[in-house]
Amino acid sequence: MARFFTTKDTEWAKVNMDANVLDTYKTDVIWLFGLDLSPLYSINRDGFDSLKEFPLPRANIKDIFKEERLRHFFVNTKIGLLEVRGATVHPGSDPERKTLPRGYFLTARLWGKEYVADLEELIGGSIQISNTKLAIPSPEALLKANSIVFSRQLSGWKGNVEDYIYINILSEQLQGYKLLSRNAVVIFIIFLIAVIIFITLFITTSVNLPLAIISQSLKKENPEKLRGLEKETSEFGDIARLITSFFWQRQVLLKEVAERKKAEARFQQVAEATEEWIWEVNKDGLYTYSSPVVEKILGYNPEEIIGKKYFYDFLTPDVKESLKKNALEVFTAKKPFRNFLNPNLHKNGNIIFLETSGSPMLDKEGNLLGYRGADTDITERKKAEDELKKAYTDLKETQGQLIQAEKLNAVGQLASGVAHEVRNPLGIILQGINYLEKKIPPDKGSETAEIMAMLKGSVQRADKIINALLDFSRAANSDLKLEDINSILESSLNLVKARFKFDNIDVVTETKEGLPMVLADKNKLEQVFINVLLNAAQAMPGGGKIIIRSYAKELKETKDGIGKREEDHFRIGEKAVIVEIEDFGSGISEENLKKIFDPFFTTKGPGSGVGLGLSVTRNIIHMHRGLIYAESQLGKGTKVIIILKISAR
Amino acid sequence: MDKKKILIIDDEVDFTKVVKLNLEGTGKYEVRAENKGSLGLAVTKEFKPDLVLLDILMLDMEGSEVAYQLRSDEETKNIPIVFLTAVIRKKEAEENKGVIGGYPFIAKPVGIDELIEVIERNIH
Repeated sequence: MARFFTTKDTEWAKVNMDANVLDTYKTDVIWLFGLDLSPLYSINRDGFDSLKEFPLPRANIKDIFKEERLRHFFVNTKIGLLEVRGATVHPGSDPERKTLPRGYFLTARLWGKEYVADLEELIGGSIQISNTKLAIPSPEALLKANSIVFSRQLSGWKGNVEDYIYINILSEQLQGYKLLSRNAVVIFIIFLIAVIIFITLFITTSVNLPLAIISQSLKKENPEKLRGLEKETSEFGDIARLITSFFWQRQVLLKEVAERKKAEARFQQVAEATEEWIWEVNKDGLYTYSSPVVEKILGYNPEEIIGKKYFYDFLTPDVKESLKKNALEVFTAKKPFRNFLNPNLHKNGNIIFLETSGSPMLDKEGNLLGYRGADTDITERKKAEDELKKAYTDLKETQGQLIQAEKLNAVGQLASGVAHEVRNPLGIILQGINYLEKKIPPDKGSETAEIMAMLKGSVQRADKIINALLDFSRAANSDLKLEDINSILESSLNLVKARFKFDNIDVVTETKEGLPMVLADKNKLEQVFINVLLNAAQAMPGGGKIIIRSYAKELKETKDGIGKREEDHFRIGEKAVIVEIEDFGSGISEENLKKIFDPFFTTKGPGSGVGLGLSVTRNIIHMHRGLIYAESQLGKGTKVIIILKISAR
Repeated sequence: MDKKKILIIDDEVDFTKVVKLNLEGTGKYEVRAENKGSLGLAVTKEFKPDLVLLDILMLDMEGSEVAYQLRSDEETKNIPIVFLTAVIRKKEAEENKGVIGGYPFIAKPVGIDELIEVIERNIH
């Protein structure tokens, strides 16, 4: 070849560089230029005659190879884009092309439609040549279309951009990758989810669950829920065990506190509800506790006592020192004491009798801490007892008097009956003797005179005997004086008052002032009223009300003892003083009502009474020329009515 | 000298009879006897006695009631009353100086001399 550039033997060129060379080089045209840029030879494929001439000015050729000996560039021509390859020609001995070139060898291929189609077929895609820069679709669009698009600059010989080539390849691999990448994403997501689930599960089972159990057990305060967790060796297990032990201790504590509260409440309630004064003192006797009831008993409230008063501060001065000494001796002996009676001074100065009981409080070593105990206010009880004792004595006395009176009454009634009935005839006899003495005056010393004197003497003797009999029953005899019935009622009531208080009997007095006086034996009428009052009280064993009335009225109704018959004590229209004693007790049956004033009639059962009371009562009233009767309804009560004569004056 | 008029009210018929005889026997008294207490007031008004001897225990009307009636009546309220009764004893009458509840009393049995003495003491 280099030889050619020397010889410029065109024939050789024609033989050695025919159309076959074009095929060999897979090119469309070949140009050979001498060093002086003279065209030495050219050959082109049929139909590419327009390429006979080199598409660039020949002068440029030197510049083309100025820097490099081998060139590859593109040139736009009228018929299309040319891909040009060129090399400087050197002798065979200079494969490195370091020597001065002998000429220039250039060849070109037109990138016509066919060639591009060949290329497209070759790469399996589409090729677009453009002299402007084209936009490449978005990667999403490309990915969607499974295509790969890329472009290259096709450079001119100066390095300028002649054209741009765009290659678009439909890539199955891309689809594959796409699928692969989608699967990868899916797998990754699944993996992620799995990991999250796993972590969640892990956290749930090994953290949340125990935490939830712990929180629930704490919320519900129920250590039962921790049973499973306790067996674990994890920290949660430790916590669970700690909590359980805490719960257990707490429960024990709570129970203890509750017990203590209960006990305290119980104590408080008892201390406040009871009438007894509950107290505690220290070993010196200083109060450390006092129930509020003390205010009712001694007039001081607990604040005035606790820490301020010693037990002996309340004792009355007369016994203070001796009782203090006794009590402190008991303290030293650490002994309990029971029902110790002691007088105390109320804040208002009254004496309050307390019955004190106490027990020592000791510590574990048996040292005295103080005393605890209770006081009962027995002032009222003591008073009531004293009153009851007195009432009992009075009643005993009255009863004795009543029995005695009953006996004497019987004798007295007999005596006064006899006296009346005997004295009248004696009166007649005496007047008769007087008459005879005058009518037939006997001689002095005569037998007649002697007999007359004997008669008179006998009358006197009989009268004397009767008087003696009346003297004997003097106690039973009436000692009639002008009396105010209300004052007799009052004195009778005074005698039974204490007893009534004990029996819970209320007495209502409805007495009229300024009543006419009655001629009465005060003691006897007192017996009557006491008797009736006691019967009324006995009709109400559970207590109740008794009404006492006194008034004066004109008697208008005919009744047993009131009327026109000679034996009636009162006449219709007569004014009388009336006493009523009414109870609201068990009442008396109609059958028994007729008999209550009969001697020895009783409903009280053997041993409770002899049944003389009401018969004596009636006798006494009859002695006063009065009347007594009872009205009663079973279950509702009884009213005893006493009618007394008004004094003549 | 006019005779003093004495009314005796007592349900013992025999007693009033003999007392009337004895008193009238003295010549100093005009005596009327009444045996029913209930008639006492009427008889007193009619007879207008200078003194009334009054029994206490009478069956139809008590002496005290009769006395109350006499005291309540303008016509009779100033007539002295002497109770003559077997209810009280001599000793009681003596102890009370013959006056019980404001009235002079004579206990039965009583002799005529004593009776006259008491009448004279109480008559106006």
